[in-house]
Amino acid sequence: MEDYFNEDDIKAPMWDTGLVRRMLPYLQNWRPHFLVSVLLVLAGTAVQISLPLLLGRAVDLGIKVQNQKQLLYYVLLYAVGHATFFVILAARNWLLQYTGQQVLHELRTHLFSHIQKLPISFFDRTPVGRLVTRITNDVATMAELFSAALINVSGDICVLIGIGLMMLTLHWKLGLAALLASPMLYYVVWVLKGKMRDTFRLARAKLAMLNASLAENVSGMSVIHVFNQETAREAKFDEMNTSLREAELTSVFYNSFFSPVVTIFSAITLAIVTTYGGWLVSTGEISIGLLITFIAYTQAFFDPVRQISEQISVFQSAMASAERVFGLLDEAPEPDLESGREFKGLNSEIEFRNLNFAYNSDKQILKDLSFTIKKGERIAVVGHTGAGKTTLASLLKRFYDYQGGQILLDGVDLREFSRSSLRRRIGLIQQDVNIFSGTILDNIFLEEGSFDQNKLDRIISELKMESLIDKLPQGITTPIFERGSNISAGQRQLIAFSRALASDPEILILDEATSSVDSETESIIQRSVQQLTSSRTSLIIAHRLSTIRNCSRILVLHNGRLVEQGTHEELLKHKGHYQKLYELQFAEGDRA
Amino acid sequence: MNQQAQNHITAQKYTLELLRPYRRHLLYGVSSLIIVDIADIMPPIIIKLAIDAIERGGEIRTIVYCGIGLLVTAIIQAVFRFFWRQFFLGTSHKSVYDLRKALFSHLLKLPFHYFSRTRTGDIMSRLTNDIQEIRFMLGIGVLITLDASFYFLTIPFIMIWLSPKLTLITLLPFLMMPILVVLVKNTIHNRSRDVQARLSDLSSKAEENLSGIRVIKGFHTEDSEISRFSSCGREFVKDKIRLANVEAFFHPALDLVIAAGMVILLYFGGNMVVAGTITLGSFMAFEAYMLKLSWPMMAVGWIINLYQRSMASMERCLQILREPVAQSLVDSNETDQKPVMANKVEIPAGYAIELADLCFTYPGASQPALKNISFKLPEGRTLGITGPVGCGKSTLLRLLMKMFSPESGQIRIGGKDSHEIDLPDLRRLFSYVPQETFLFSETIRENILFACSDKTRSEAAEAFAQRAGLADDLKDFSGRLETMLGERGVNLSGGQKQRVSLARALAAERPILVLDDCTSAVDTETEQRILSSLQKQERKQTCIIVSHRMVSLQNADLIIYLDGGEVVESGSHAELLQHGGRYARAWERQRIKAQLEEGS
Repeated sequence: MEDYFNEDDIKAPMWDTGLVRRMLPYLQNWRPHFLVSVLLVLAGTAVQISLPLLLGRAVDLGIKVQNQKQLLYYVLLYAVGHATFFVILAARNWLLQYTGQQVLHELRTHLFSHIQKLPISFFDRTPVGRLVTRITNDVATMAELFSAALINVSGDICVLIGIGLMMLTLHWKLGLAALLASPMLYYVVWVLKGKMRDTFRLARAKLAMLNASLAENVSGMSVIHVFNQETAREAKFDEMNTSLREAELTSVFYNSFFSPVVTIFSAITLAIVTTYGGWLVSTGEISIGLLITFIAYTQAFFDPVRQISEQISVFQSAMASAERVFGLLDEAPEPDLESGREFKGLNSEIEFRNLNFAYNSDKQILKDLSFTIKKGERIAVVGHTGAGKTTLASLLKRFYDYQGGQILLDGVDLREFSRSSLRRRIGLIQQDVNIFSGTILDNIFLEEGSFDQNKLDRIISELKMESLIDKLPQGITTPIFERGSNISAGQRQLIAFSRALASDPEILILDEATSSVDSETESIIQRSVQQLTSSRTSLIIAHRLSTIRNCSRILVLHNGRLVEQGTHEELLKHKGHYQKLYELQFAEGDRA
Repeated sequence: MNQQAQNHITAQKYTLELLRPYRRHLLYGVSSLIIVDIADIMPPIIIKLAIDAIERGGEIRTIVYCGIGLLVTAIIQAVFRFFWRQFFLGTSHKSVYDLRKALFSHLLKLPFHYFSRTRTGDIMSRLTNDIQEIRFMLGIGVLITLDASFYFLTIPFIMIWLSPKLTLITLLPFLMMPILVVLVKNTIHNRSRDVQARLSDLSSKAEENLSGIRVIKGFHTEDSEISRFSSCGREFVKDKIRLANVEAFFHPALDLVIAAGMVILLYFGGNMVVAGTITLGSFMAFEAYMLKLSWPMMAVGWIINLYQRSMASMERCLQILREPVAQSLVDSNETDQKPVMANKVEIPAGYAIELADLCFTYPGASQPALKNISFKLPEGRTLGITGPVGCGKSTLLRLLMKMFSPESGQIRIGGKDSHEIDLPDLRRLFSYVPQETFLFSETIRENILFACSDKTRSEAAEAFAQRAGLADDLKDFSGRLETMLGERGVNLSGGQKQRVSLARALAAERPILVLDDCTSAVDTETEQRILSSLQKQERKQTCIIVSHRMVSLQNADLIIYLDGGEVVESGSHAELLQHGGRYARAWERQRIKAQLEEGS
């Protein structure tokens, strides 16, 4: 179910120096771009501030003294000023978007690479949806801090300071009078903003809670219906709905103060400037043009105030997202995959010696497990659900490290070999076939640039895939739809088999699907398994009688222990654990 | 008139309907808006008067009056600006409250099959995103529309009053603005759509990768995945920059249009001041009005966009409201209005259950789910139902509780045809423990007392918890019965959930208890304890137990074995074992399995 309630965003601080410092390295490569952005901000501010000045000059030197030539001159200057401002603003917007996206891309790729390096145990406990949100939404929100928020806010602050300084320089007394009200404005806005933020957050939390409850009611509708609780649920919902409405109205109440406050302050300033400025003009201390410049400045002074206050929530969500993203980056990756000896191939045997393993301390999965597989042998592992069969495969590929005992490849401890070589040379064919988007070919050769025509021909002939490929509209390069909906279950299985063959595995682990399959798939699987395992050391986690019958030895696991081993016939004669398993899992019969 | 236009009109009508209860507030809002706007168009004229006074040689008194005038208009504006927001935005929240209420209460009345064919996500997106869109339109949308209209209806006339000629020249570039907005918005819209598509590619790439991470790590192809993801990301960046190419210029371009007007004003207006056609004050007032007019010009495009989106959202909400409610609820509503009809509703005498030739096929299915089911269960007895996956066990329960109506055949409860029992009354007969446990994110006590007639009976909750075998679990929670469940509370294990669900059914204290394979996550021993305690204490309660675990059924008075929607075997446990058929074979298999699990 979707997550309708996100408390982090509501409680996050506006600014966290530690987090911001951690973001800085991602800007390293884009320093010139940011430098240019900052320059553009400064240049834009300069042009923006000079425009009212030009307007005043046009009045004083053109209109007042009736000099049409001067007027035209200033009009042209004014036009050029506006055009320049347009160019600067557009360039600044563009550059911010451009740089922001590049930084975002690097950050996203970095996060993705980091996730790829995390151990399997991390994926066991983290839902996929949450990781996707981190990679897409959180990273984007975080990057917004640099592009929009930081640059825009500093731009706005520049304009504020610029106008203030300009007014003081032009006429310090009138400038001071114009700025008189600002400190108070900032104080009032600050107090008000706090109140607005609190009430807004409360309303948002209520909305999130209401939505979560709605989702719950919709998915549990049959329970409500069956227990005849419609009225009670409606009343309960109405309670939440009412409380949301009240919270929203409170939020609207405080929000409604903001714009009037700014209006009043800007009017007070305008009144002061007009009256005091008008008096100064009449005494001849300043020109009418300068007064007009001041009036224009006053009007431009209050926009940044609004803009800045709107950016606060952007800062906040950026901090919340950054916290989550860095939390993910702090997850310890798997140790270097390449470190250790390279596993080149098996000469004599794999030995499991007193192996002990637990995913977490409260449940031991493998207990003191010992057995040996000779090179070229075909072994089946059977057992009831939870016996620890699949764990064996994960351990061989070093997805997890065992806690006690040893796995020895030709007498050498498995942990001395590099993970990468083990994973390449030990092929694992899993129960559920994961199909990736792309063509069938892409799905066989998962590693980029690993395609090899000879190998492909060999795989096709080994698995007898010719007839299947011919059936597909574009042969081996047929694109596969999302989740493999345009290929059959049998074809998916074949892809899984060929994928394993493409990496030339030395040892093959087959994790057979428990579910029953259609007869076409069944025959494909039987034929291919036979073919694949005839020349390779193989460990088959078996659920099919046909597979078991063809194995040289069957290991029977129960609660993490090896309880019996032998051939199918031997084990049946023994009338032990295997015999029961056989009746339950492999013999045909009533499946209730 | 085509369907689409028709829908659009109903959406419009319904929107107005939503606002109707608050028309008085809206009227206050409109009045405040008019006062605000009048106060807002005054200052340029006041400044004009001030400047003209200064020009005439500085009549201090006029200048001071002007200063006071500016302050007074500002205060009036500020006060009513407060009210306008209160009235308009407040109304939008109230209307949305009503809409949400109407939608939810309608959803509660919809029949079972609506929820089985509609995804929760789809309903939720209507209840969240669409309601949000509608609220924007009702609040800020209405406000801005009225505000912009006021400006359009006043400012041009004041400008004409100041100077008709100058108005004509300066407003010329302004006319480009709505055109620019509509044209560019279109491009932006298209390119944003591309960006959205790329973003969804990117997230499905990530999702695909993460779901297949075991394969990727297994084949050690992380690096290829990183480079694929990175190139997918680059595609996204490329499209995003294509969007930025337009977006970055859009707002500056609007500013440029305004600037063009200003340049024209400065040149022509300046010359007119020089020529004495207008005063310097009028010139300044012109400048201020032009700035004021630019905002509603920009708003036009935005309003059109918002309006279209909100109407589409309203249509989507109306689709829910137009869904027909469960049939028998319609009947009962009618009986409320016409008491004469009340005799149609019958209250069953006793709780014996009798099925005769019951048949049912799911809508759209080719095979019937149930075929000629008949049995009799006397009041106070226990029925066990078993059979392979998909045999029709759950369907049978659904028909009993009238989530679906049978195609043919009869269900008689206490001698009355279930068709003749009013739906709420029928539902009041059953306590149900569903197969898939669903609990609410509330306290354990609230969950247990969910359907209890008296929700304040705390000690009762304790007793029911005890009977459902929850006593030991509760010791693990510090809050005991007051422990919150769900995302913001504790997550129960599957077995614990099932026990809470069982306690909820017990607390409902209804004559017929239905257990739908509800003890799958409980071990056999605990299950046996719970079931036997039920049978001891509630000898009078009629019980229906569905289970794939035969041990759960061995004490039932009657067991039916279903396969392919038909009763294959029926009888008591001993009879069925004796018969040596499917039931007996399944029983044997499960015995072996139990031995395996025990680790013999």
